[in-house]
Amino acid sequence: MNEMANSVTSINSQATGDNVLVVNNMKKYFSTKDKDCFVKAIDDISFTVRRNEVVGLVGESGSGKSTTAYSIMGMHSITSGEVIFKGQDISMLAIKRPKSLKREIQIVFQDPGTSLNPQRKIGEIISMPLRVHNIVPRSQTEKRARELLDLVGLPQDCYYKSPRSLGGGEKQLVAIARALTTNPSLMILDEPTSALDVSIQAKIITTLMELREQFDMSYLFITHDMSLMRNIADRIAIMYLGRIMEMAPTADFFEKPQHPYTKMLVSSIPVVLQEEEDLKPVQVESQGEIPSPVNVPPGCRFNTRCPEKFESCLVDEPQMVKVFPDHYVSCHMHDPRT
Amino acid sequence: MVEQKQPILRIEDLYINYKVYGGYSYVIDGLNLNVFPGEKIALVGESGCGKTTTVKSILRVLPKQAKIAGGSIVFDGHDVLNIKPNELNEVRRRKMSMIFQDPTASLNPVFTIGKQISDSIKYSGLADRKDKKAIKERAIQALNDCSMPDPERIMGNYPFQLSGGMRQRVCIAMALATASKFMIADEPTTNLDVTIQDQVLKLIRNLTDEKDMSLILITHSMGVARMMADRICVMYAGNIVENAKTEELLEKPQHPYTVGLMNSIPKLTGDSILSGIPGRLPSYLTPPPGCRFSTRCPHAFDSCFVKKPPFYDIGNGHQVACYLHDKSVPQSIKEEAVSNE
Ligand SMILES: Nc1ncnc2c1ncn2[C@@H]1O[C@H](COP(=O)(O)OP(=O)(O)OP(=O)(O)O)[C@@H](O)[C@H]1O
Ligand SMILES: Nc1ncnc2c1ncn2[C@@H]1O[C@H](COP(=O)(O)OP(=O)(O)OP(=O)(O)O)[C@@H](O)[C@H]1O
Ligand SMILES: [Mg+2]
Ligand SMILES: [Mg+2]
Repeated sequence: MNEMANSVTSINSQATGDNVLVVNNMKKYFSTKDKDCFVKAIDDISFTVRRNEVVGLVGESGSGKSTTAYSIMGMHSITSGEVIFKGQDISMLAIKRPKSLKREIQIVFQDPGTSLNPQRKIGEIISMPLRVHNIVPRSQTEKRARELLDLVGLPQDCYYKSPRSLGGGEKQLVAIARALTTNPSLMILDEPTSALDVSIQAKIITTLMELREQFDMSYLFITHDMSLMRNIADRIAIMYLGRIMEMAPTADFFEKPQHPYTKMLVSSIPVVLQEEEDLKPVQVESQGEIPSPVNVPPGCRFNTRCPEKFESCLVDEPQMVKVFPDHYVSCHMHDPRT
Repeated sequence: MVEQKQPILRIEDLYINYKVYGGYSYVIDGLNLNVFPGEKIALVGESGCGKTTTVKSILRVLPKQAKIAGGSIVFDGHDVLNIKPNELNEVRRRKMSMIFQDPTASLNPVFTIGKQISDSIKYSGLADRKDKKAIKERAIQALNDCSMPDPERIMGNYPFQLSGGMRQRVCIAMALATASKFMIADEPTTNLDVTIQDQVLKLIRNLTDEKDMSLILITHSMGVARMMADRICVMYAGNIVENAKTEELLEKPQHPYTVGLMNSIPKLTGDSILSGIPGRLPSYLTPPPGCRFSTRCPHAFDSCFVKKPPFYDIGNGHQVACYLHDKSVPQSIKEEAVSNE
């Protein structure tokens, strides 16, 4: 446990003044019907998001990416660890956070269908936070809401439509417009473009990147689209079963992936060009059982699928070590203790 | 070879409108599509171009605001638009399975995953209705096939207790467990990480190959289309604008919309400037009279604004709905149009 704590200080030790978000040893366990069993959705993760930075959070479905997002938002009470935003401890639930901090962190959800109230018109959905947080004078609300529609590329006639009458992609655009209402400084984007086609995605991404410059925002960007990450992220963290396995600057992540899971992931990316195919490492076939977060395997949690495992991997949890500048990996092949 | 068989699905001149605030949305606009037995098709195109609307019409599961205003759909000998309710149920349960786009909306929040999968297996006629044990085994097997961790526990869970990707895999498992002749998959893997996506797609591919099933796969990922489909149909604003074999389409896209789409794909090479396609889909309330892409097309000229272009066959099974391929249009006009960019 102590060793873990040490390594953690090292991953966050570069913590300079320009960290917007610092997450230290965060855990989130969900209880199950069986009192002694927990779903270890997040099992001790630490990372930072710097000012004006795009951090990509990728990894297995069910590895805890959304839970990480919800925990930072204060929608889940975390089991242990701390969340620090601009130097202030915000480990508590959202309802207990100061209102000013709440509006500084916004989220766009994974599932556009369920995050928009079907009873309300799009105009109302976007106007609501403008009113609640007094962003613009009341008389300007509709004007600002319509500007936001424009900003995300939705036609004005959406103002009076209900979410139900929109395509999946259009709904996500509404959610993005809604998140922009409070001019947040940290935006958590939970697969914001996975329901959009590439041409709209391109527009949204360009818009998001411009807004980031303009308003000095940071993004924690959750996605499964590795090619997109390649183009927009500054650093990427990869999660597996509740834990960060590797975190690296983007170029490093793709050019010298260290963790076998990262290699597996990068080699599975579907691409359109032969040129891209050539950049991928040799295909690492996924093998073995995918474990459940209720019964995390002893040792390294990736050992059931790892093609390169050896004895230590079945016994000890590897610690996070620095392998290159700003590049950390949690794998016995790099663990100096091994 | 495939071409000589009769299509298992033939959609002809399909028109679908939605009743909306302020009038009608004329969404599907004379769409034609053939799918042959065993053929795998990818349907790609901008959000809102009508992909889901098209495939929902095949199963007759459109929302009540939708009206099929014309055309015909024939599936495996059934005239789908004039079908009797029990015949339709038979088709839905026994011949076709669909993975819906929104996994949360297609799962019932008040029933456990186990009950929902078991029910669909029960009604598909693929297992004895009374043999609870066999049904349960089949359900667990289906979840296992989709790389779901801990299927037995998941069976007792409610949808809200699962991650997005897990819900999606439940829907895929359900469709795969009951699949027989024809499968429609509406963006089945958008919530999955690439390693699981890879496994699930291979599973769908193997299963459909094994049973010689046809597949319509809706996706936003050209990479996924490349991996899965024999043919890619590109849709724009309610119509198919380009249709070609996968390799051909990716290497030689012809329609200006397809070209824009290809240029919007983020590349692993990392140097892609994500430009997108300027402008947006036209309003379906008052769609442009000519080519629906004319309002955004860098190459549009007079004819494009007047009349909808027909499909031009440019060989090798490649079809494009664009006047740039009309032989009767003088070369000089085309050249001027192309240089307009
Ligand atoms: N409310 C809850 N109750 C119990 N378990 C939960 C709850 N929410 C999430 N989980 C579990 O926590 C784990 C992580 O889920 P999470 O939604 O964070 O995954 P994710 O990484 O976002 O996956 P995806 O890529 O599929 O969206 C999963 O095993 C999930 O079943
Ligand atoms: N129930 C409805 N009422 C009114 N309009 C609708 C309804 N459902 C869909 N539409 C409209 O029909 C058009 C096509 O929608 P559809 O869902 O078929 O698009 P799609 O191609 O599947 O998009 P996506 O990629 O976003 O899923 C959209 O403009 C949408 O707004
Ligand atoms: Mg998620
Ligand atoms: Mg759709």
